[in-house]
Amino acid sequence: MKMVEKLGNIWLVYSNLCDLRKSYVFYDMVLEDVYDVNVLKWLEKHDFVSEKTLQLMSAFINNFLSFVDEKEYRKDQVFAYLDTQLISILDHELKDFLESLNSDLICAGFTDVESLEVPNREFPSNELILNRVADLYNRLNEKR
Amino acid sequence: MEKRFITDLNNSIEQTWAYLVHTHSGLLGLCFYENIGSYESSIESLFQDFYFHELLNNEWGDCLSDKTRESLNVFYASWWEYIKNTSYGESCFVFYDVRYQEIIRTKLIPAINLLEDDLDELERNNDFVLKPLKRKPIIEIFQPENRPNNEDLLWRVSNLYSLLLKHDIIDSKVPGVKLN
Repeated sequence: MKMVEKLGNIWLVYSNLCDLRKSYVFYDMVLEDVYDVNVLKWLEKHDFVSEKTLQLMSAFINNFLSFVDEKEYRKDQVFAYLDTQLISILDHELKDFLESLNSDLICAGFTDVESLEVPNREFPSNELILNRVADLYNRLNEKR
Repeated sequence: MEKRFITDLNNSIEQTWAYLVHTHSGLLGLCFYENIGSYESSIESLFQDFYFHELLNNEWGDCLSDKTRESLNVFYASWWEYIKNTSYGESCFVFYDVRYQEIIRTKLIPAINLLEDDLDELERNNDFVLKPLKRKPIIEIFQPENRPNNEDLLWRVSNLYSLLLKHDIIDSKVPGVKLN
């Protein structure tokens, strides 16, 4: 694989994780990547990803997965984004990991790196919350 | 309704007034979010403790004006229809719903205003041993933007998920985002 392709692939991972900070709609996709595809671990194969980045990645994955595993509703994007614990992970572990990966990309010669600052997080709307809640009640009613 | 209750209300205007004050308070409890469970306890209080159905059916004796009773019945019909068609209609999630806020604004508040006129009338014309509390204007109480906070909401959602797990509708052992 050419260097530019490697960088392009890592940029995709990086960009998706930035989206996780920006909007709840990417939550499911990242969760699936972490659980099923283990995309983040793929970074370990690239020699220009620093040890520090890998450690921060590991901290992010561990915190994120233990957050998700603790309560079932945390697998649900609509409710996970109402939880201050996830917000903290996005603001600390993920942010630190992304900043370090950002530096690695720049050091490796990737020049098109946008700012990591994503100040406004998107929260689920009332309508979305109510639709999801109605769906949960309906599941219970069907069982009853 | 227990016969004793009817007799008590018919024999004592003060008792009737006291029940109306509690009913008024239960109706106010439907207008705003106070804490998790407050909406449900207002419903329970109205129907189980203070015989709201019987009040609507004119079984309390002559304590409300026709206008007030009619207005309360109009509110009740809309609210009941809403609850029947809304799976979360008896939970705090209603405070996220603009349709519920509309019922409160257009049906319940006018009925509460009329009920307050009737209460004022009763208090003016009778010298009750219990003294009425000063009522806050409804406009200060009804705050549609005041909804359950995220923590309360997640507590309730967490309970819902526990029920789903208990009934094997979802499986916590399988990681990932897809519910069964």
